[in-house]
Amino acid sequence: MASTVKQLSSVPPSMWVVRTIVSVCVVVHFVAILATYSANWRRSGIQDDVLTASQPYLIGLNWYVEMLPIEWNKADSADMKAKLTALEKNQTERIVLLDSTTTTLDRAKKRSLLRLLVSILEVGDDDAAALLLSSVIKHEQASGVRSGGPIVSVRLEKLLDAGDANYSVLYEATVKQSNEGSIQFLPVLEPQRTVPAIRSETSTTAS
Amino acid sequence: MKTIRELTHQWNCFWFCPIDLHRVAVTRLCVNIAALFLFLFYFGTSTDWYGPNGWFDTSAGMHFAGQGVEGTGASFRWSLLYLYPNSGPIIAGIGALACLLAASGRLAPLSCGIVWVCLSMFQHRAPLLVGICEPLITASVFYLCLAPSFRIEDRTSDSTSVIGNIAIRLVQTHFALWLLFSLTTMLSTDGWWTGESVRRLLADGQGLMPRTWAIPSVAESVAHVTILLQIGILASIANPTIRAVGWWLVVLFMAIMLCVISDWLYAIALFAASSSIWYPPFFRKAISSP
Repeated sequence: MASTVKQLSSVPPSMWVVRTIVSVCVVVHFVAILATYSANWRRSGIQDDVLTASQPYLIGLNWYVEMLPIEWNKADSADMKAKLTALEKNQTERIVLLDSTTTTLDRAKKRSLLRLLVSILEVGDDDAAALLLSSVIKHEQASGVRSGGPIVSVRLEKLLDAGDANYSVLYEATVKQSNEGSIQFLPVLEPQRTVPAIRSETSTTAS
Repeated sequence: MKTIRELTHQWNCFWFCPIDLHRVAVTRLCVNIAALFLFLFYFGTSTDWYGPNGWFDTSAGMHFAGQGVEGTGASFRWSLLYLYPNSGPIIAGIGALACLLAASGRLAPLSCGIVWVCLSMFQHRAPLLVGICEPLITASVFYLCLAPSFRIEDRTSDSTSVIGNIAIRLVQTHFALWLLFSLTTMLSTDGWWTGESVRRLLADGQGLMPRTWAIPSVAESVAHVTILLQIGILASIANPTIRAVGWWLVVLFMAIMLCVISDWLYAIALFAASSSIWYPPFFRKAISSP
């Protein structure tokens, strides 16, 4: 300890300037990080200003509010078990496109994708949902795993409570695919989705 | 006045004392092993996710990154994966090679820089799908870019560095802050007080615990232990007299996390970041040797 004190007190004046500059950089850096992390709770006007001013730095380095999952859960509603199923042309049995209970290597990403889908459908962002669903359907059809015809319907189901045994339908849409490859979705449960009531699907039981 | 002088002295001691480069090399090795696992994951899955017909194709990626929407900062997000959707395995391969180079202690600042750039590209491509482990590993790699090259087996007499100390302190501080906000974010939700958050995760069956254990008594116990462990880890970081206990608390925290969400990459990231504070037992001999 004594040698450390001696080392620190015997530094030349130019080193003090360097140390001051480094100290200021460290403080500014961690203030920006703190503003980012604490924005997970609430965001004040000052915090908003700090985040906006440091956007190039924080986003460039990958530390921005939406980029930082920090907790095991994501959101109360989106954490519930969910699955995205589809119906192929001339088929009666639905195929599972995404399931939150999957055990594949990329399950964390699949769960994130499902959570994102649930979140945007719950806020009613149809354009974003269509973009995401198109991406999933194109992937499924391009993967060549299924030998059936084109997908004609999609359905997103989730549990309303962790203790539930049955999934409830959050969103269901008819899929229209053009020859050019564009995909359109015509929601069939619009009245149910725009009000909190969600149709209970008793035929499908939770595994 | 004396207090300010003491504070300045402690600040200088914390940030500007030279550190044994063996310690830096051990942390760099652990962090780069964690990054290597991440690259292996990207190598196997990136085309399936970010390819032209991936789960999350380029148009979806650009929309959710906020491209074209003012105030989202999308213009600061950069990734070759937007331009070349099939480049994922190549980027992951380059990143993995750089990890090996950095872990060996050769050309460390450059190789850590390459690792950081490659990791960032995957995260900028799909910021909303970033996992819990990725920001922690990326931040640690970024800080370690500062540390000079040094191999663990090197036995030269002059093996201390002030810049190496700054790099390690940045990793430590970031890890402590990250843990603090993980704890406070959990405490800010009702679910972690009532155990409901854990019950949902257990019901999902992702962890090593069976789904049948998703009952209130188990969920509440797990939630309370998780919170207490994080408090304990933070206390051991802040208090040198109980610091030795911290490593075991980290191991327990990792075990509980694996039981509940079974995120192995997150467990490896925790281990790697915490190695900046608690050097893994199998490296202690290498560090203590002259």
